[in-house]
Amino acid sequence: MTTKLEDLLKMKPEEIQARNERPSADELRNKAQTYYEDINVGDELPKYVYSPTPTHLFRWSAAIENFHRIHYDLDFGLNHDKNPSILVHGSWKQSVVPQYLKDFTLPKGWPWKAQFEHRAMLVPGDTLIVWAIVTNKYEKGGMGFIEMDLGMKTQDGVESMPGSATVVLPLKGGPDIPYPFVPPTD
Amino acid sequence: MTQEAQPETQSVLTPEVQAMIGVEGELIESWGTVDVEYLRRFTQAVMDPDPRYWDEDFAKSTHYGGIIVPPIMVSYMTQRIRPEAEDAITEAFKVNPMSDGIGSVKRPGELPDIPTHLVRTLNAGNEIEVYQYPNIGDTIFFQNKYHDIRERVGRDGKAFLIITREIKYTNQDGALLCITRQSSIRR
Amino acid sequence: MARFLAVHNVSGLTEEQFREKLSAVSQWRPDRRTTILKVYGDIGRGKLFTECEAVEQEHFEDWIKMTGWPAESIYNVDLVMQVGNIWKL
Repeated sequence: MTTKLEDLLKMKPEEIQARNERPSADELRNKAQTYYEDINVGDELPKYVYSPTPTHLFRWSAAIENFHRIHYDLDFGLNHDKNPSILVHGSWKQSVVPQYLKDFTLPKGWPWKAQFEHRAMLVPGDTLIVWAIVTNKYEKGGMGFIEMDLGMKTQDGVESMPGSATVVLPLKGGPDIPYPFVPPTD
Repeated sequence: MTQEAQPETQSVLTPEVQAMIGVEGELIESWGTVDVEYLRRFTQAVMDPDPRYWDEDFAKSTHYGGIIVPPIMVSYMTQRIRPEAEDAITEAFKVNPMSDGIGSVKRPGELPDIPTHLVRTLNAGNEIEVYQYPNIGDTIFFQNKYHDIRERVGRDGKAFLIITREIKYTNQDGALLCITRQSSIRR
Repeated sequence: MARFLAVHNVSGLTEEQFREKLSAVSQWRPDRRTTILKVYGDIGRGKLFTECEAVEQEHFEDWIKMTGWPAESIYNVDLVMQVGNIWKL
């Protein structure tokens, strides 16, 4: 059972980090299917907690070949762009979202789409909480659609990435979600 | 709070700007292919330990029949500097010793500029739609498009534009992998 | 945004107290636009030097009040040399 977001935000960073629900390789390997019928409006998804360091930021810049100095050059970031430190990448944040949705829908659901805005600069030292709350559900074309609000909040409750998403879950006893995914037509 | 432009507000959604809706860039082939080494570096950097990315036997037993690749990973292949190109970083600092590291690097397949006098740009949001996982060995193609351009009026009574660019990512078989959209405010 | 430098006299300050006041992000970043970039401490002589980026001096002064380390003087910073790079702020 996930810790409620409002409770997590009352905790100290180290307590938040201790409640991280990012799954291990084995948990992802053995994950049981969540079905459409298992989900209710208002349900909170697991909370993914991150504590980025300068080295995490460098690793991301290198992986995607992003040479923007604001993510690794502290002197430039502080004195040219007047940022509070080197900054967590928006591209990293937006790459965590599809992963988060993929994990929730595994093994046979589909992480269809998401939208979000980038707000609030994040820096090494911040504790980041990825969260989602179910806002709507409906069946269509033999598939279960789950809509949710989601985001990435800091330990101080600042929302850095307000957004929403729609994922697809199989119905109990229903057909497999088609792959490649084809959304049902109206 | 924003609203639609009223008759007395000077519109910035001119016929020339409206004509850009739907304009597409060239279909560009990304340099290189989707390979296990980039997959390893990317999934470690995003901190996703999913064995579907690296355990071939397990991946074959899953719904997807093989190793999967995060679709958003291929979106970053579009910014690779091709080996035959000039060293973009050295050039950027020659032109501007205070370069931010990326500013003057030209990307292939870019769209023509929007013909507007509005110069200030702010990020207004991103979207991603996922349809199929890329496969190891895929060649990735991408194409830019102006998906939508709208006008709004700010609290100061001045009109501004919301410009949404879309990029479609396909593979060598023309299969749609994912779509990303980025909206920006131009004021 | 502006840059400021404050000089504080805090006699009897210990390293533990210094760490307690400055470890968490929310302590050196008290709001989204005020950042305490650096604090230099000569603990033995009870002297601190604090560099802050803020919209206005009042926001820096709010942080100074919060820490309980009164400033003997506050300066504007116009020019910085940091590891060979010179920045006009």
